Amino acid sequence: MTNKEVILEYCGVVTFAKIDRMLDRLSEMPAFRQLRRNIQKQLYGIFVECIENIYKNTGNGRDNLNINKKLPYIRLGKQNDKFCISSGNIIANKRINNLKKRIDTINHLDREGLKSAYMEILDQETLSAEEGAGLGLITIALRSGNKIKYNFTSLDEQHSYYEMKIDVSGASSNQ
Amino acid sequence: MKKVTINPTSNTPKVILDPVNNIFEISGESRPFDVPSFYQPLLTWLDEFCQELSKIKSNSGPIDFKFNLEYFNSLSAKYILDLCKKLYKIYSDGHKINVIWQYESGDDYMFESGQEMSKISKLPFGYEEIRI
Repeated sequence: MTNKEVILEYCGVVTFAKIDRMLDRLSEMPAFRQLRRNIQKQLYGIFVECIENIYKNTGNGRDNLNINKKLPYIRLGKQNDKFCISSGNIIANKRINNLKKRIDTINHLDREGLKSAYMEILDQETLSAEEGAGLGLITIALRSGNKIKYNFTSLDEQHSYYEMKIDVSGASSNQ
Repeated sequence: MKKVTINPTSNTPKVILDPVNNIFEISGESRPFDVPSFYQPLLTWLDEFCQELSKIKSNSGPIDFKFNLEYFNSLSAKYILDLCKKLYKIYSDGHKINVIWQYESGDDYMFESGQEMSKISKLPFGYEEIRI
């Protein structure tokens, strides 16, 4: 029998102030507070990278014209023996190929490979926006210890809806 | 040099850069609204501090620099590494510096992050596990 539980879910425009409030709310939630501290930190770290990822993709007016078509969302849930963080936001189609390549490359790396890639990006003099996004994705993979699942659904000629799903093990022994 | 004191907020760390009292500390949570704007003045301050130190033949005692970060986002990691690289410059100029990387007991990710920062910056770290 599948045991599903939503710990925190948000659907709507993501602003920096909203991120602050959401993280405050998460930290105060009994379902979150009762988790082991290392699991809390692991989930918090992935949640921040995912919500900041949405903010970077949709914030500062980017894609505002399309915001009503499909709103961003983020969800932290628990299903049987694992936690799951899933997110979605609109993305320009021209960015999809690079993003797919980046996630596929990350998903093919083992932990040592991820660490090397992380250190290589960190050690650069300056980071482009794309490299910054790559660092966030590597951080998600390192913190979760699992592959990043993703999906793109076409909305129109210029935009798609980008969804990401990250599983985190350890829900069965978390309390 | 004028000391730097930044009070913590929900998304920025507490910062103390106080050469007179030998208190150097960055602690708390780091995910500022504008990460480069938060860290750039600290990097500039360390550059100037490094120049100040170079005028002194030998400093009287070691500089104690403490990192006690509860959480930092991926872009903050880049700037924390940049801070460590500045500290390495001080170290490689022959000044004694003790870098203490504190991490919460069981937070392997934070401990490993410290090891990576130390490895890339070539700056030796001491590690302290904090029990909450």
